[in-house]
Amino acid sequence: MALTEVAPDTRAPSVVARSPVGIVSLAGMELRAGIRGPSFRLLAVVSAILGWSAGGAPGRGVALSAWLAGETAWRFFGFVIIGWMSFLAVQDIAARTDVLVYSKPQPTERIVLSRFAAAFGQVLLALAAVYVFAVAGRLYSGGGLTGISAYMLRYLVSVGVVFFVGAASYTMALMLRTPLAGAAVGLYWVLALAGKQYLPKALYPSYSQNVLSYVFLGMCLLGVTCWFHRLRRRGRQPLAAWVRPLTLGSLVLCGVFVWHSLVTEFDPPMHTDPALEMMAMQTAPVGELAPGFRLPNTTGGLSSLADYPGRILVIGLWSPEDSESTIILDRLEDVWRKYGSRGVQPIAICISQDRSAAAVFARGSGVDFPVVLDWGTHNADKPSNASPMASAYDADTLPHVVVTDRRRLTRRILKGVDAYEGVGLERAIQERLAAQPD
Amino acid sequence: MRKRSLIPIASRNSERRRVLNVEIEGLRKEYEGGVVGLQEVNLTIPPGIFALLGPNGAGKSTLMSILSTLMDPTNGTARVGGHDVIREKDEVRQILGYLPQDFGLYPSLTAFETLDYVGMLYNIGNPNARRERIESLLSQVNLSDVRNRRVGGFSGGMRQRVGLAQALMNSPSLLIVDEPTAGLDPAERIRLRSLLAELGGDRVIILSTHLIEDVEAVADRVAVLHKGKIRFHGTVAEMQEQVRGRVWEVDVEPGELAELRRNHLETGLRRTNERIQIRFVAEKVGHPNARPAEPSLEDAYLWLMREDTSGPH
Repeated sequence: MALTEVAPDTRAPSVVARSPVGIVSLAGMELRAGIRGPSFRLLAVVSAILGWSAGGAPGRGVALSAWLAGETAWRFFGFVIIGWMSFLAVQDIAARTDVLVYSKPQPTERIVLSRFAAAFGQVLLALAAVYVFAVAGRLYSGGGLTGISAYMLRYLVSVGVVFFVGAASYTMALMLRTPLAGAAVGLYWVLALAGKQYLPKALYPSYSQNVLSYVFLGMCLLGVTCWFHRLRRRGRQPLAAWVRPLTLGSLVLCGVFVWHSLVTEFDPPMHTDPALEMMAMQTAPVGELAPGFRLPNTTGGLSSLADYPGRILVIGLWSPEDSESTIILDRLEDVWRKYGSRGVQPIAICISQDRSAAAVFARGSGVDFPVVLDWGTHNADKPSNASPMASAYDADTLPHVVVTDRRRLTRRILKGVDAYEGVGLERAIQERLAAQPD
Repeated sequence: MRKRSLIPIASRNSERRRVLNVEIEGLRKEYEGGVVGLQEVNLTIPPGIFALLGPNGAGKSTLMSILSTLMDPTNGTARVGGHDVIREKDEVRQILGYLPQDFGLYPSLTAFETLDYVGMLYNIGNPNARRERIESLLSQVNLSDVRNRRVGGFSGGMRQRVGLAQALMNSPSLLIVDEPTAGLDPAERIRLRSLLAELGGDRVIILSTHLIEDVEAVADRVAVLHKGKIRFHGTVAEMQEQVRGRVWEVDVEPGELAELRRNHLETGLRRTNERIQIRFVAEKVGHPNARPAEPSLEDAYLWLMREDTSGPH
C-alpha cells in the first residue's frame, strides 16, 4: 500500500528520537513501582523478623548469627521468595498491565529480563533486610560484631541460592501463566529440606560449592523463558543475539559444575576417596597416636597434625548444624591466646557438607588458629557415620575435644558440655604443660 | 536491516507524519472450544475517527486485540500502513498507540513516572526528550497539575486520560481506543470525547464502543459489528440513511403499547402528559397516529442489530 506524506495536524506532538532503552532503566522504573507497594513492605517486615530471630545467636563473634541468617535465608525466606516471584511473574496478567506493556515495541526478552531484574531487585533488598536485622538483633542481644564480614560471605551465598529459587519460580509461573506453577519449585524445596539424606551433595541447592551450578541453572531457565515466552508475539522479529548463548552457555556450565561436583564430592556410595576412607579407619583411644589428617584450611591450603611437631594439640571437632558445638571455637581461641606461646596448638575440625562453613566460622569468630574442613562429610544418621574425622575420633557427641601430649599421643577426651564448660579443658591443658613444659 | 520506526525522526520544522490505511481482509478468530469471535471481517479504514460499534460480546475487543498485535487471528490478514499485524508486529507497534478497554497501571507510580516508563517502552532513550514529550502529553490530557500524584489514587476518568496519554506517547499513526468512555461519569465522558475529537487529523483512530453517543460525538466513519460480523460500514450519515423513511413516532394510550411492540422494532419511548410517545423503525406502522420521523443513529443501530439482518450493507 502506498503511503502518502502530509503535514502533521497542529496538535500532533513532536516526534522524538528513539534509541533503545537499557534493561537496567526499564528494571529501575519497575523496581521503583514495586518497592513502593504494600506487598514489598510486607516482604520487608517478614524479612526483618526472620533476620532478627537469627541475630541473637550466642558466640563472641558473629559467626553463628551469620550462619543462621544464611540458613534462614534459604530455608524460610526461600519459601517466601518462591511465592513472591511466582506472584510477580503473573501479576501483570491479573492487574492487566500486560496489555499496555506487550503492545509496545519492546522485544519480549527485554521485557522478561527487566521484569525479572526488578522483581529480583526487591528480593535482594529483602534479603539485605534479613542480614541487617540479624546484625541489629545481635547488637540488641548484647553481642559484639567481631568478624562482621562473615555476614557478607553468607549474603553472597544466599544471593546465589535465592537467585536460583527466584529464577525457577518466576520462569515457571511466567511460562505457564499461573502462580501455582511456582509451587512446583516449592515442592522441590520441601523435598530438598525433608529428604536431604536422599539427595546427592551435588544436587543440594544451599551448599556454597553448588551455588554456581544453581546460578547457571537459573540463568538457563531465564534464557529459555526469554526465548520461548509469548513466542508468537515476536512475529518475524529476530531473537536478540544474547539469548541463545546465555541459555545454552548456562546449561553447559551448569552441567560442567554438577558433573564436577558429582565426581569430586566425597559422597558414598556414589563417589569415594581412598585417602578419606583411610582417615576414617583410624582410631583414637587414650594413649594412642591421635588420628592424622590432611584437610583444607581456611587460607586455601592444606593442614595436617604433622605441621605442628612437638606441640600440645587441642583438637576440637564441631559442626555448624549443631549450634551449641560452635561455642568450642571461642574456647579454643581462649586456649590459643593463653597457652599458644607455651606450645599449645588448637586445631578445629569443621564437620559440614558446606564447603564455606569453616571459612564463615573462622572469619566470624575472629580466630587465629587453624580451622580445617572435613570435606568428606556426607549425609548419615550420626556424626561418626557422616564424617571421616568424626569416625576416626569416635565423635558422636559434639563438640568433641582431644588433648594430646607433645608426641601427639591422645591424653584426654572431652565430649559435649564438658568440652566447653567448667574447668575440664583448662585442667587437661595444665596437666600436659606440667608434664611436658617444653 | 530492520526498520526502527515508520515515523520519521526529524526536526520540528520538517516533521511529517505518514498517512496510512488499515486494511482487514477475511479476518476470522476462533477461540478454543469453537467459540467464534470474528467471522470473515473485511474492512478498509482510512485516516480519521472510525467507530466500531456493537453490543458487548460482538467481537470488538477481539478485533482491537488483533490490530494491536496482542492476538493472532485464526485466518485472514490485517495490515497497518502496509505492515502485516501477524508477521510484522514490531513495525506495527512502532506506529501504534493502544488504549485497551481493561488495563492496569502501576498504582505506586505517579502520572509522570507512568508515562516515563511508557516512554522507555517506546525506546525514547533520551531522558530530556522523554520529559518534554511527557509534559506535552500531560498538558494535552489536562493532568499537568497532578503529574506527581500516584495513579493509584486517580478517578476512573483520570486513569483513562493517563491511558490515552500513554497511547499517544509515540505520536501514533494508528490509535486504537477500546471502550474509552465505559464506566465514566458524564463530565469525564464528554472530556474524553473532546480529546479524541481533537486528535483526529491525519492519523487513523479506531474507537471501539457500544455507546451511540460516542459515535455521534466524534466519528467520521462507523462499522457495526454483531456476533463477529460486520453489519454495516460507511459514514455516520450513511448509517443514518439506512433507516430514512422507516422511522415512526406514534402517540398511544398505555394499553396499546403491547400490541405495537409485538409487531414493530421499538427504538425509543417518551411519556407526554397522559399519553406515551413511542418510536419505531419499520417499513410501515399500522396505527392512525403514526407519523414519519427524522432518523437518528440509534434508530439505524437498532435496525442493523435485528436478528434477521444478514451481511454487510
